[in-house]
Amino acid sequence: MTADRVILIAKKEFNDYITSKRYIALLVMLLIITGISVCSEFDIYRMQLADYSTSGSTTMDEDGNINTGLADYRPAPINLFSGITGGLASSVFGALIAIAMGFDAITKERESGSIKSLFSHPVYRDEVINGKAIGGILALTLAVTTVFMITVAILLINSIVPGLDEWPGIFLLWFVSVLFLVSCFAMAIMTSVFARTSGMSLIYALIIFFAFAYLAPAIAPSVSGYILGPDPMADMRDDISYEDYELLIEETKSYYTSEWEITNIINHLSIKCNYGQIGDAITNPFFLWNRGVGNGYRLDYAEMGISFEDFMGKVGSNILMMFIFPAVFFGISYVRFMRMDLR
Amino acid sequence: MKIQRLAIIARKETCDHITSKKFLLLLLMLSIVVGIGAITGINDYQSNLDRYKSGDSSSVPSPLSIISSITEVIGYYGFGAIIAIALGFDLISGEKETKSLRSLLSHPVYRDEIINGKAIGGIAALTIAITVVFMLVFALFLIQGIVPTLYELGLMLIIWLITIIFLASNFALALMASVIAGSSSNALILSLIILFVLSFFIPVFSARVAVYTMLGEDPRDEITIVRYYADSDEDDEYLELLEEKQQDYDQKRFAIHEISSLFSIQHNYYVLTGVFAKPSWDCIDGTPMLSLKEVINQVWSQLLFFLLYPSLFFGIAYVKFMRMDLR
Repeated sequence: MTADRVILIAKKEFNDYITSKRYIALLVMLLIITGISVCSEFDIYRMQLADYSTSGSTTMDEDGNINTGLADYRPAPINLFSGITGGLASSVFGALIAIAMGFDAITKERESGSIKSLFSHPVYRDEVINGKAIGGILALTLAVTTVFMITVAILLINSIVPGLDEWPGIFLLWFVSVLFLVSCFAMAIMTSVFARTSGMSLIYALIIFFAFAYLAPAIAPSVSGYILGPDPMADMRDDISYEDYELLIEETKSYYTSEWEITNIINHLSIKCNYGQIGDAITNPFFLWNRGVGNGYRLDYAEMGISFEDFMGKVGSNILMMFIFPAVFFGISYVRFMRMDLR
Repeated sequence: MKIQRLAIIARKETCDHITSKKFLLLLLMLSIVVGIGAITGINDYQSNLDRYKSGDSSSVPSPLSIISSITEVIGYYGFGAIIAIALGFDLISGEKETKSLRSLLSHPVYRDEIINGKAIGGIAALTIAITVVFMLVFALFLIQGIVPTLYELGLMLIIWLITIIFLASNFALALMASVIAGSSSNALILSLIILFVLSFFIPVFSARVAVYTMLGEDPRDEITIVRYYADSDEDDEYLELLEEKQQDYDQKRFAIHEISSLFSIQHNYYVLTGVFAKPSWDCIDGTPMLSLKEVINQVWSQLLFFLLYPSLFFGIAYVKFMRMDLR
């Protein structure tokens, strides 16, 4: 494999992608989905800001004094970016751009017979598949960058300026969003290597997407319910003594904490959940940090003092999974393509 | 068109579908998810029943609540749309691509027989899939010793029928796309885009635009600020005025959303099954408070759109296929 030829193929693939009608149509779709999502977040932001500017939010300061306010939290510009995560991950349509780009990468060449003429040129198989992958990833990066640029532009038009400390978060979210789409793209490439026709490849890609997006969150409650048994609160009686009641409350608390932990572990198998979790940690930290063992009061984002270590401790495993998914999918398609019988 | 030839094509299509790997894979996935959901539902049902027995709760739990695990997987998680589209997207375009359509039409068979046979075959295969899933849940009921009453069985049958119509709509959509598009992959992309427009673009995006352009600013923010700082009678009067405006605004916004969500097949399915699976019109002792007619009165617009889609999509597919230029 020489870098020259890989770059040549990647460049050609990239140009093919971004000039195709399908890419433009899907990019418009992506912009509509994320646009709507960001608009809803924008409404919430404005409401919270109106509440916050009148009375502040309900918080506890260091001395334990509670300030009661109308706002749920202090709104920050980075909250608006959760619209992008929500839009991309909430339905199959967000990931469709990535799936639609990858599903016929190999099958199309086989169907039209061009793969034979391609290999009659002095080019190796690994260069072809790597070039295709790099070209696709670049096109996806361009799409995600467009979405982020437009979001930031809309914020600036509305005179909302993200603070200096928010930019690393926005950048990280951009990177994770690219990874999310790359996972779906690698999945589609994999099915395109395996399937005989493009149509079958797309159907298999959709099935695998559903399996890796919705299966885990759909079965997680059942699994945790099976492991943990019924909610201890079910033993609640009217004539319970105060000590028993306290004990029951404790048990219930630990029950829900472990339920949340089990669900969280199972959800690691879902690309969508990993992405959603990381997105939440970046854009809406108060939700994630208060989940499971909530202290009842939502803290102000700026005053929470979440360091990078806290962040990695919370969602480091999710980020790892975001790398594992594309690597596994791409690895399988690489090996399979190298050994493919082409006659 | 002859019934005999139609039956032959329909039978061949059904057999092709139910013996294909793609169908079996989808059915397996559907059964796993529905089965696990049903087990959770049954556990909830049992604990609700215990609570009812011990007198903590006054409402009798209904086995119908467990059925919602099926409708949720099919509607909300979108398995239904995927299965139906997977069966339909290459019916015509696949024949075109492999050029088998020409040899098929060189036999003594009419075009309408082919498209009708394909539609019937596909819907039959979908019916089999849905029946399998319902039987699975029903078997789980019986194993756990839950026996639905005759009245509940009737409701289950209605939900079963609605589910089949839902799948048939998506199937007809894919069939239409497969007639219109040149290749199978384009047909699939086209049907997904139509699904996107119907279930997302019109109900969410257009509704939003309509709310902004027709209704203007939401008075909510102003109310919050005025309420917080209100200290004189004048302010209170102004606040009342604003609250009236808010009520009016909310009503209109609700109406816009209601109308635009009629376009979504999925939303109509959700509303219709919701009416039957969680009957709020159900009396405590299990006999209906409202008659079927009154219930249908509540959801007639959803029902109309719900029945409109399969006929519309199939009509387009039929006409397009009859006039198709095959050279």
